[in-house]
Amino acid sequence: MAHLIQLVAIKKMFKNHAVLDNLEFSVNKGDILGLIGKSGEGKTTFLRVLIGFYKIDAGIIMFEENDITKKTQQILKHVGFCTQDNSFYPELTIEENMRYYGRLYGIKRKVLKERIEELLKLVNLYERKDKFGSDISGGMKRRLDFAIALLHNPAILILDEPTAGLDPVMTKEIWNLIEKINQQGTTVIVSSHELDNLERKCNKIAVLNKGKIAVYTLAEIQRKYKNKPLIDVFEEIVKIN
Amino acid sequence: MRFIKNLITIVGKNLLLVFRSWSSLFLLVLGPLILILLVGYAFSGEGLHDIKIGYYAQNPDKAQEIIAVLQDNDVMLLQYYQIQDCISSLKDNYLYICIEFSDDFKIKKIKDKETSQGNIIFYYDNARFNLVAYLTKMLNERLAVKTEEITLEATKTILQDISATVEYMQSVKTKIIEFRIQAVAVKEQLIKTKNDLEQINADFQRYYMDYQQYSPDVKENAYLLDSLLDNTTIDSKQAAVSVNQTVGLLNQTNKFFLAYVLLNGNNGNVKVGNATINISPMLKSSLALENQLSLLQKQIEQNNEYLEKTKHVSDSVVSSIDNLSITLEKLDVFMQTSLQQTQENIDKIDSLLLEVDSLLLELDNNIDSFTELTKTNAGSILKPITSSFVGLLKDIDKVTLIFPVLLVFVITFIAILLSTMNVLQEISSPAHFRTFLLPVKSFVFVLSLFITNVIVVALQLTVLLIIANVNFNIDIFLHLSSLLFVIFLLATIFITIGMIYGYLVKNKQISVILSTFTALIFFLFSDVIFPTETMPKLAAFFVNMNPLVIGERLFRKLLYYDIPLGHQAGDVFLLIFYIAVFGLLLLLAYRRHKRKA
Repeated sequence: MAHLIQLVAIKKMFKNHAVLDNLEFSVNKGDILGLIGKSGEGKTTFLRVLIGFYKIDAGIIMFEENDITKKTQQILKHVGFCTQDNSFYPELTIEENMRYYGRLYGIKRKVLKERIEELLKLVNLYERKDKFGSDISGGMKRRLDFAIALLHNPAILILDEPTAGLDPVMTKEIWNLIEKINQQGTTVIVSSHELDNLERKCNKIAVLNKGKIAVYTLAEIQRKYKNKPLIDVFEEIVKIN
Repeated sequence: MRFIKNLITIVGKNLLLVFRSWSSLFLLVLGPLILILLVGYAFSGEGLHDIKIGYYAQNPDKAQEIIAVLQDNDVMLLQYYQIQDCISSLKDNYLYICIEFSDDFKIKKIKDKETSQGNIIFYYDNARFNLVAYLTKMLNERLAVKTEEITLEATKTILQDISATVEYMQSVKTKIIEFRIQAVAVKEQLIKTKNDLEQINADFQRYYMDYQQYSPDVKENAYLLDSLLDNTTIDSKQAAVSVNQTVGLLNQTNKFFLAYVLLNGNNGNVKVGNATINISPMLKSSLALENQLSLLQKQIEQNNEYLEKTKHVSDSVVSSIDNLSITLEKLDVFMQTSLQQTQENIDKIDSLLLEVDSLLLELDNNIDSFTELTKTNAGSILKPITSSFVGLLKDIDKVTLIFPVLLVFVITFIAILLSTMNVLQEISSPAHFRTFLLPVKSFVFVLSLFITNVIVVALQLTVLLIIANVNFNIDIFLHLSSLLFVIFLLATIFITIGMIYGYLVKNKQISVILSTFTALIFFLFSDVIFPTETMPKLAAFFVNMNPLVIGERLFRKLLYYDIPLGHQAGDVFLLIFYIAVFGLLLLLAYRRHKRKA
């Protein structure tokens, strides 16, 4: 099966420290890939490299077999990204935020209107579209952020700790939404410390450790680590490396 | 006690935070240091320098003394041949002062020393209100010294001259009085002479009238006598001839008869026919007659001589009478003329005496006033050189004059602070990171933020311009496009600077303080408080490069002197150059910000 996105021998330095060192990574279309790693290990850096925000010191980024390493704008067309914090304007309403970003993505007015309606219905915010970003709950903010990230219909949605700071109910809502988005055909890469949810929702787990990444399917993990809980698997992988 | 301990702990922590932040440390230590150094340096100048003064004089040679006083190493004087050209240069900021020497400005020689006199008008640009005070002070000082010098010199001379004049007038007065006394005496003498002449004339007229009455008879008688004498002389001469002839005949006869007697000897008897006549008695009588006739002839000749003499006398008398008549006529005319002239002379002396009296009165007044003048001191005498200062902008109140400064000040502060805050608001917004994820070039975000700032600044300045137009009657519409263009250039520069701070310093407080600090430097390191001409030359050079100063200069020329931007291309291009430099720095700052996001 062809990789949707593939990173080859990626190296990213901060000053003299290699955060990512000769990293190899790939993800296939339709995957929900969970990214785990110790705090400060470089998960965010990895994700930012993936979206082309950080320039890499070495390596190649391929999208559908095409080298897009130096075509940052190309990467951004295919990738939707949500940070740990919500990235929209709290002073604007939900719809205004959607319209603003939609226009910057270059979506035509008529198409955009339909797209906004569709996405707001997907994230269950359509009824509240006139509410200000500052006036909605944390879960709604996350959902709005997802909707914005999906505006340009990206092939991959990358989520950096999407449930950080949310209560369990909201967390469940978000994971259900991630699953729903994936079911609509969007490949999802999600960084999280919620290993239970990762184990439940993802079909692949990537472990970032010491600048390198190892990707496993759930089946591989279960087979290799004899159905051990993911936390134990993670501890083991980290210890080994 | 606990309260104090807590207070110390918190203050200690706060200070630690402050000193650990490079940017706050910069503001705390280097900021004030730079501000003090820059401003202190700029304000450390003591005198004016690089002052260009233009002057116009109909006769420049006569103004040289004043020009020499004004000129020195720091002041350059330029001669203009038209006052309007000089004023144009002043409006164009090429000159600081334009001097017009009055047409009657002259050099007066006082006791071999040349001094200037006349009026001087100093034209100045009162829109440069902070420089005006320095310039007027400098000019007044220099001119006052010269004026005082001239005044004292002139006053001393004048006072000396006045004293000499008073003395001279006193002596003249004495002489006039003497002359008056003499004139009065002459007048009296003339009156007496006139009276005598009148008396003589009266007598003369009386005799002269008698003479005129009798002189024709006298003359006629004289002529008759003369004629009579002429006739008598002629008769007498004829008688003398006749007597002479008779004597001659008688002499012949007597000689004949005598010869006959002598020859015939018959005693004088002559036989005549039958008769004998004795001729001797007859001969004797004839000889006696001849003697008598000879005597008569001599008598007649003597009488003729007398007649000749009498005739001559008579002729002289007639001639004398004629001469006397002519002389008497002349004397009569002379008498009349003399009397008339004497009267005229008396009248003249009267008139002269009146004039002398008037002169004496005037002289007394002058002597009094001069005497009073010498009692006053030299300082009270008017300055030989009068001067006046004329501002180019008349009937303009101070608020209007300060408007260009106010405008650039507002642009500077609003643009820097607003753009810093807008950038900070944007980059501190949770949405900011997403801007990096959009397929939009970074430049577009920077530009859009810049345009946003321009619009907000424009809105604020629109209010300011409306107030300026409505309240201060400043005609902003005359050069509206140029005015807006300069506003745009200035706003662009300061917005760019503010945005650079926003992207470089992410801490809101520090960024805002830094922006304020920068705006303050622009403000203090300008010619708003002290003119550049009073600063050290290097500081003045940099201050003149200050966009705030350039902007103020452009506004002033546009609003007050209608000088189009085409004539201020240097300043405009400098602003554009700043925009290019700060624009580049802004992009670099944005890239750095993006890298660090």
